[in-house]
Amino acid sequence: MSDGDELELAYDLGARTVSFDLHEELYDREAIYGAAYLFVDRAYLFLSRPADNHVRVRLRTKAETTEEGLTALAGEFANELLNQMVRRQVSQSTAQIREYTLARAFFGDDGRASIDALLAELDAEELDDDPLEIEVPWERSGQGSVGG
Amino acid sequence: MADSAPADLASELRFDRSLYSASAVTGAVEAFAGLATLTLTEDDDAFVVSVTDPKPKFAPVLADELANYALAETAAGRRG
Repeated sequence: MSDGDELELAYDLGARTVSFDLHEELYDREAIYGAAYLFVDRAYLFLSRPADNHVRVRLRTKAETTEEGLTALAGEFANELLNQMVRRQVSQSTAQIREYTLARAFFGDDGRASIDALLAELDAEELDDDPLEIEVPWERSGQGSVGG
Repeated sequence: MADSAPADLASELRFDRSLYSASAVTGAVEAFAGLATLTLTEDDDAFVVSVTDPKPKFAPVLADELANYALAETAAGRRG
């Protein structure tokens, strides 16, 4: 997507390729890699630098196609590019709260207290009649109900 | 900044240094070494892979597959 509003596509039907340029100020490099990674099983990709801060994405289909097919492929790549951008932005904006939640779960006092409480509850259980702790609940409730 | 891409079925692929990692290109060359004679050289801007004597069965797609491999490895490497 160059300076215009639309993706400027360059076709080469003979070579089954469609190319377009992305400006790195608009499209994060990692998002380009993320989208490309998801397309390597569908098409042949090649990245090059037509100018500073621009990345040219070249997609080549693995089978014969039409101009419409190439347009659709480029459109799907552009959609995935946006998807990758959004995922990265959400990931970055929620990173702090994720780190906080994980830190609290692993190292917080509440987490330690709840684990200690569970251990205390286990220790408090009356297991005198079952020193090997192999009794299962249905043995008690089922006594007398099973014939023989 | 030439666009020397696999679609040309060129005998030379130029992987821009700012877009492809060295380890990914090296890994691609090693992975496909049994299918052609591959020579890796470097200049200021790019890693240059020369492809000669490809096995006929793989010749039509060898450069494309090698480029895909290098790109996938570069992307995977950046994900950590």
